[in-house]
Amino acid sequence: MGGSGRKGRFVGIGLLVLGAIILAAAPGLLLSSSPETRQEPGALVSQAGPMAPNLAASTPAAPVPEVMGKTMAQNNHPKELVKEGFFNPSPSAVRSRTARGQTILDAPPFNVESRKEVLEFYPCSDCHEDEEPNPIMRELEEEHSDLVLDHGGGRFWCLTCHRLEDRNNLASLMGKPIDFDTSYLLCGQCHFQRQKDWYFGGHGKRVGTWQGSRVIQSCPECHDAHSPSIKPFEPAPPPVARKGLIHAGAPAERHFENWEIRAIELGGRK
Amino acid sequence: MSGPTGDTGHPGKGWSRRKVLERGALAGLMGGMLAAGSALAQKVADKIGGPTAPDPRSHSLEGAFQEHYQRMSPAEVKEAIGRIQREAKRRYGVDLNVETTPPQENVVFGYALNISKCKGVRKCVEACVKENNTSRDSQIQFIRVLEMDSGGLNLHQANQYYDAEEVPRQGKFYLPMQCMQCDNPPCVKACPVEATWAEPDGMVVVDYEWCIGCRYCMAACPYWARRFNWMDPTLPTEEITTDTHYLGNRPRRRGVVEKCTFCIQRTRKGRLPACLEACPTGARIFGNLLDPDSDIRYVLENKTVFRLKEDLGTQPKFWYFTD
Repeated sequence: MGGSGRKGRFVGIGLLVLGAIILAAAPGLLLSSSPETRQEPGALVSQAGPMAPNLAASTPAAPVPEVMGKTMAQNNHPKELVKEGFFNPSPSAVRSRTARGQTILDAPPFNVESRKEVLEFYPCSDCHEDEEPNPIMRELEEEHSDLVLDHGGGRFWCLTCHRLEDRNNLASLMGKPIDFDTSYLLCGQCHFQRQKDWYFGGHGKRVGTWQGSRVIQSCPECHDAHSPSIKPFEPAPPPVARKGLIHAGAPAERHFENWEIRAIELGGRK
Repeated sequence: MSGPTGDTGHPGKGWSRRKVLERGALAGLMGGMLAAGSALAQKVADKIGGPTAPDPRSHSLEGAFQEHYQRMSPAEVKEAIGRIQREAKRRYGVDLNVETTPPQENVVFGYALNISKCKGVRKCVEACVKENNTSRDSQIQFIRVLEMDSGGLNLHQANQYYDAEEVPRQGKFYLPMQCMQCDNPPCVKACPVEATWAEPDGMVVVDYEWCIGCRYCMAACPYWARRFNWMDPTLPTEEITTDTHYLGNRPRRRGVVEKCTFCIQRTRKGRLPACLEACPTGARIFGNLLDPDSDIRYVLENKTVFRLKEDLGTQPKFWYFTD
């Protein structure tokens, strides 16, 4: 990524970020023995319990919390992720503060649904283990040819977000592994303002309850990662106008489906 | 609060409404018996299937003798719920669960809607109709999705009847409008019989049995949020939501006003409103205004929000915002 001059700048920024992370994580480390206290009483489940090490592949299966019958992802909160040391929030993400001066590290606790349960081909290593990794940028012809990549204005291809050797994880722009369950970390590298809104509940969709444990949908629940813009919808039918009312908005015959059509002379006002 | 003469028929001011109705009914009954002998008349009517044969779809008059919800004793509430359940069984063949979940402490509900995300899909409307058991025939809908030309906000020129193949349409934006649960609700002030009031958690509710159907509140509401039941509600049995609240989505009578209550039957138990759950774009945000960590508070503090017709001083608890 980038020329050697830019690399130097990256290192400088990296050091600054590291400092910021250590500062931000310090209270978290001090408090790590006490349970999360921000949760309201009456919560359905506790937050993702003791932290499992970062990469699922290398660890024995830890119990995955369940909320409303759905499997929740682990490693939810950026604070926890910083503790584990495999996620570095981008400098912009940490610098971007809310009106109350909070960063994403201060966001209220939340759960996201596990993506691994939903993904069709996961674990990817099932197929890719036997494949010779091919780092050359090309059009895919045999597999995944149905994917439309409409993201990044032509600058992206598979290995921008997927790891060449370690297919079961996503790749950050700096080449670090990102778990499929925490794919929002990947999106937040560029869309950090949206991501901040999402952490605090201003973007995205909450599921189930407004009270108690916070379950929010992760980015790929609504946005196709390969073509993320929201596509047009077919709307539900319009309401009927009351008998005797002909509204300018829609074809008149539509209004009177459930009302006595014949009693009314259509074609008067339009 | 009370009418111009100061006498609204409340207890302590002579006869209560209940007393009047009961005595009136008693007098009528006696008169009827004297005239023809009502038992005999009923027998004849049953035989010939005349107009006195009870229509299984119509509501009984029982509810008319009921006290105002806020003045009912627990026993009277229980009795009223029993009647609603019997009626639901008779009319729709369903076993209804009618709850009276009280408001939670330190909770005031607020709603925010992102109009840059709303695409006018009307999924909220569909979900609302289903959740709130609104009459299918008369198509009562608590939510109006208004389509407006980009670059302006003219509610009175908006089109709620847009019928497009695909939304969003070019050059248009969409703004769903429902009850704003105003903090200073003009509808409550307009009601001559105090059949509608604001609950401590902010919800403006209606006692459907106390409502006289004068529709003053509809005229007073600047957001056109209240609906009037012109005919006996038609509800397909299999589509009835059986988890109901007394002040919310239980089946209503003909001739009363009804409205959105932010799904009181759900939200008082911690769940999210049906319209929010149905929204495919995540444009809707709901939460407790008194909780500084809630989603809604984040939106109010960090986004440019506005409310409709703010100059009227109604203090709606429904905000709109853009990204």
